[in-house]
Amino acid sequence: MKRLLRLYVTGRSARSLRAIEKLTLLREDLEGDVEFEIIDVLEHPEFAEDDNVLATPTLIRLQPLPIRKIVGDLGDREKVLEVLVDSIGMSRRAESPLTPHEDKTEKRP
Amino acid sequence: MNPVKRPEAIRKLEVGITGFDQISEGGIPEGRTTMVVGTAGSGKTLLALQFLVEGVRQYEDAGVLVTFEEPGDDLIRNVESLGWDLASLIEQNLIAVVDASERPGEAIVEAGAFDFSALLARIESAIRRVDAKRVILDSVGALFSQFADSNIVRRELHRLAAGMRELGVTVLFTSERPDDYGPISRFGVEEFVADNVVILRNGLEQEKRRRTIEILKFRGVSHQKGEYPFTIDATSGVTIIPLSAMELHQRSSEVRISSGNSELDEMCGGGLFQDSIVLASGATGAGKTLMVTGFMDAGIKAGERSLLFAYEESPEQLFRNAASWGIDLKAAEQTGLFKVVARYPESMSLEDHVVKMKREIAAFEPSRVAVDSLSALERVSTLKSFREFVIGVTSYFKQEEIAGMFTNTTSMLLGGESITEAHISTITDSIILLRYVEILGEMKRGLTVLKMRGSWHQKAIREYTIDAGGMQIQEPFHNVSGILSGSPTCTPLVEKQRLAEMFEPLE
Repeated sequence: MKRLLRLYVTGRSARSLRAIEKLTLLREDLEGDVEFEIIDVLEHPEFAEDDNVLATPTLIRLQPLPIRKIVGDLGDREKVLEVLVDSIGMSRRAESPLTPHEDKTEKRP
Repeated sequence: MNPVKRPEAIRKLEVGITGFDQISEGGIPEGRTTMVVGTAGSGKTLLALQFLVEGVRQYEDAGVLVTFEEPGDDLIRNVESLGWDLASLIEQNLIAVVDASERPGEAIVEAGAFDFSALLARIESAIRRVDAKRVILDSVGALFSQFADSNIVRRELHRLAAGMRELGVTVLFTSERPDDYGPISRFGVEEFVADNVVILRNGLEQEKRRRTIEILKFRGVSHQKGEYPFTIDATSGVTIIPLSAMELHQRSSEVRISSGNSELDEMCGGGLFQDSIVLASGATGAGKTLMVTGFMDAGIKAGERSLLFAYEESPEQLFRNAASWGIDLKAAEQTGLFKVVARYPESMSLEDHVVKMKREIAAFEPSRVAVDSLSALERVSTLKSFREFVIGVTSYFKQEEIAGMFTNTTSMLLGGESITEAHISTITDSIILLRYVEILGEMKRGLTVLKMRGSWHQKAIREYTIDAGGMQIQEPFHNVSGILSGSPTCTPLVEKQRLAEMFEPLE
């Protein structure tokens, strides 16, 4: 089963870089082959149009269906995993270390 | 580094919606953000879409439609009935759509900080694709239901507006409000985003819906204040009736025209003025329709087009009545000099009547128009909209230099006045009263010219009769007083003499 995650970012803004960093960490948390795509909305607004993305960063689980959207810089790792992982085909690595790398996330005003 | 920009005066962008550019004194501020707020069903989306469509149609301005609430396809289908072919405008790259409506089953989970850069990038790309000047966002309220934190949505909307301002586009966005009178909008968007606020209302007044539009604020530029009625119909979408915003410097004509009755012309000092509005007021059966028929006939005889709006009788009845007074309206209709438009007053709202009337007048281009009767229209409206209706119609007549005659049915047989009379007498130029006069147990009819703006007129009350030749105006009533108050009293000659002899001249 194909697994595809697509992350929308805006250029090299701090928030985007943080999301990309978190996505890399996320690879460790997920089991099996997961494809990752990173799309810059400034370069490819048409992708954002097709996927109806309003906010950046936005992480979309395109495969497996149903489509899931997570908005934000992925700071809340537990929440991200909660949304992505379900019985349909994406699962969490058993030995997934719960490193406290979510502490550096930007606080919402 | 860019050189420091000097602040430029705010220019206005003509919207292209009938009446809007009058009440806004030239359109909405160009390059700025204008918010249109209203309750559900108040016509926000339609107004916004019309701004876009008229931009393409009249000014060759391309536009971008950003929809948050209804899917783009639904919007396109909804306005098809108005004859707006959005689909082909999109094909021709005159309008671009950014469909940001929530897709079913796609719940958004928030995990961390975000901004609306993607949305701005999409809008920007659409603007560049069609080289748009106008952008609409409908309706931003839907964004608040997609995202949990309304503070972030407000902040991001502000950023969005700033981003679009940099692109030099004129933005119109819609927002919901819970009540017609109350907080300006839900979520308090206006303080953050809009330089300008336009309010649409759809209030219920004496069991009748009345749509109004109000420009609440235009930052830094002038506009007309207060509420103006508007209509929505299948041919022209939103039409605003800009009553008091109408210009009052109508030309005043010195040309006299015939009322259709030579004695009456004489009483008016030589005829009616070409651009004047006459009110003929009287009880039922007093001869108002006869006066109107004569008025129309005089126009036809002079080779001018005459248009009659009948709200009490059918065309057939009118033709039959006219024939009984020796006037052949049927023949005039066939030659194209006469037209009658008969409608039930109840068939639509007064605002719709105004729009329909203007449309008929614009199509037929008459030099005379009669409305028989105005008081029939009074039945279907509130006092306020009736007054607005009369002002709207009369100023349109004046603007087009049309001679108008309105009739008014008074409720009492003898004397008395009606709401119509009290409310529109100051608006009309001339008033002719038709009254029943009871003298010594006999019913007679009396006519007087009560007012004739800009001209001398006869002050006497003249008796008149109606026969196969129409209205025959006779001599003034002698020795009768109290006709207008409805209680005429005869003063016998003997008494008059005695009164004259009551006082002795001082030595």
